[in-house]
Amino acid sequence: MENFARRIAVRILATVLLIFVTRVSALSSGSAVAFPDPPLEVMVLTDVAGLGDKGFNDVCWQGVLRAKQDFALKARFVQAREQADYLPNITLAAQNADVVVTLGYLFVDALKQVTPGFPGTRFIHIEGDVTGENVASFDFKSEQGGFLAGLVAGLFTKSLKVGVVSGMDIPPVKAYVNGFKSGVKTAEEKRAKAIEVIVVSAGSFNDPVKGKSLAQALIAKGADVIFRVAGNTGIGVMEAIADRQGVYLIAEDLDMDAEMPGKILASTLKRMDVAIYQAIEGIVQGRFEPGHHWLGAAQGAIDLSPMKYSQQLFTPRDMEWIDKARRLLKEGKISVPKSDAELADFQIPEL
Amino acid sequence: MSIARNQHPIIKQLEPLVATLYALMAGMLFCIILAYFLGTGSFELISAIWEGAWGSPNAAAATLSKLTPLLLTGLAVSVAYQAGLLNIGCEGQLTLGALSAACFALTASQLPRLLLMPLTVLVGALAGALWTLPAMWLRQKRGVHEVVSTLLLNYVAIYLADYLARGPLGDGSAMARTAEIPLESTWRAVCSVGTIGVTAAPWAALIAMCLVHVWLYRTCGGYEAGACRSNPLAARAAGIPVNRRQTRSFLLSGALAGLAGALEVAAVHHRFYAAFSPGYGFDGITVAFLVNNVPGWTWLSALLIASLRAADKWLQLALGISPSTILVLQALLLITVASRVRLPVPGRTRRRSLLGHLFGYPEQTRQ
Repeated sequence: MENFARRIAVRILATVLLIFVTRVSALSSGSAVAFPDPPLEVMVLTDVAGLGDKGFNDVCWQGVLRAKQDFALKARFVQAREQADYLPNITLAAQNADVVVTLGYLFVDALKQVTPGFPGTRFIHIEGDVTGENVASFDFKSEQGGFLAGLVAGLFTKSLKVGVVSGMDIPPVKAYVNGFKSGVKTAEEKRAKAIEVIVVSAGSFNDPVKGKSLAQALIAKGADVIFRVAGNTGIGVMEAIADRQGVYLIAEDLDMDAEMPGKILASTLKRMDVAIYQAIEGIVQGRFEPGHHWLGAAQGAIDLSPMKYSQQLFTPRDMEWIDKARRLLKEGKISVPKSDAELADFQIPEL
Repeated sequence: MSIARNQHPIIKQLEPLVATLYALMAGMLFCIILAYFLGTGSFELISAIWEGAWGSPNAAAATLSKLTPLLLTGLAVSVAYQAGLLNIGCEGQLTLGALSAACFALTASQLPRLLLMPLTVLVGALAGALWTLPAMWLRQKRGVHEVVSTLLLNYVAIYLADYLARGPLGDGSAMARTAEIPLESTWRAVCSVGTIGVTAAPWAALIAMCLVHVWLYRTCGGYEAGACRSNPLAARAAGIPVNRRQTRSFLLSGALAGLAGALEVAAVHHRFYAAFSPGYGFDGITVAFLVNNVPGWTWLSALLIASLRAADKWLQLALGISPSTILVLQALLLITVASRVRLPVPGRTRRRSLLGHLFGYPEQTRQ
């Protein structure tokens, strides 16, 4: 009797399994997920940080969204899970889209391997030098944004100590930091006081917990203005500052002044969205410009936020200096140092 | 022994297969529920997972390349488990294995390819094995449970590797990576499907699995290791040096985890990146426990997890679903298996669950 029951149980189990197996195989052969064919298919690839970082990736995505609306495109994004995903993700995107947008320096190695294999696909890359018939890559003079941030921080600081929380020490971040130091130097001369710059690195763009503890350490050391150049890690910096009296933030890449009104002195703007929008526009209108492009204040790609909520914290004279610095940068009259060597030779501009 | 009662040997052999199939069925059930909450069709979700993992040659290649580290770390966990130990430290062993392999390939680059290629991965395996020794010493001499020591040694290894790749062993680019290893030490694609090549690494992992299976079930040494798990006191009474046998199994476990890291460097990245692993060492625990820690079946669960992991980009593309959905699914699968929510199987006997193993762990072996 026990044997009989057992046999029945096995049979029921086998039937259930059989149904599942046939069901799955029927699905896989029959209804593959098909892509409809819109006029132009744009695919955006982010590194492990993904969208929602209130910085780099979000700015770029805004540009894509604007282009999507204006040119009736189809736009999607894929976030990588690990380093090993970059190559397969780019390949997958290149197979399924007309335009592939890769965001960030970490994609450079993998992108160089893929682009020659897809001559019919257009690639737009932000940060890093990738060349090819079908690639337009864009780099930004981050140091100019850093300079403006440094000037604002240097003019504002009461404790004469300012901090920087950087994500990884990759070239674009390094440029930001050196630009920041030159901006602080300029403010030092204006105020005729020595200002200390403390730079700390989180070693990751995706570690808000570490960002928070680093920011707290900077505050403990006496810094009253903190410049975040840290992607998603910067979210933690904002948290650390939110509940501290007398400590202020300067944000990077995106206008975040409204996120914490009055607590954010200014945001440096890096208009990657404009670069991406214009590149997509070029593709739509049939005048794609491959090659590596450097964009800066002169092209309107680097700027400072209007400081809507923080203006009253500065004297009119300070604001005049800041405005003048913006104007001079736009006219190309200030050369801002990018590397450590250039920083040593930095000529403080006349404001 | 209560296990032998009325149990047909074939059914006992197939138990890991049944466990995985149950997990698969449970997974489909969860997919249906998840799909409801995500607002897509459940069959669309399941077919998107299938399509993303095996739908195109490129997808299959990506899945296979994810299979390698999962299979090896799963094997590492199950080998230790078969000797009565839990190795939670695969992540650290894998990281140090990868770093050592990269450094060896860079320093010994003048060796001929025939020597350099195998030596690179062997050095990685050796480093992984050596990293288990502190945990073993702490267990046998100081009575520190290996779950605690291996878990904490992970962080020592990860941050050590991070420091070394950033500083003394880095390529100077401030990106926390070593220089590219010489071409002679890399595993090249044996067949190219689409644009992504498939290297011999997945097959090497499968061979390693077969060897471990033979060692464990067909040799005297493997039998002794098994005896250390099922009854350490009896094993000791029978003259088996329990501590030494356990150390041997743990060394093998660490070597397999180190091998996983070395193969990632040699076959995928061609250099060491700090934090290149998204937690393969911890996924090894999932892989091993999905099939009851039977090494010979780890290929099945590794294949399942690798397929899920590789499918996440397709989920984003085809359905616009967050890739974290896959992680949720994977966690649900593990909980299902761990809590043994199962249909009755003829002759199945009650065994302790994963949670039971983690928290109620009576076998304390001190000689």
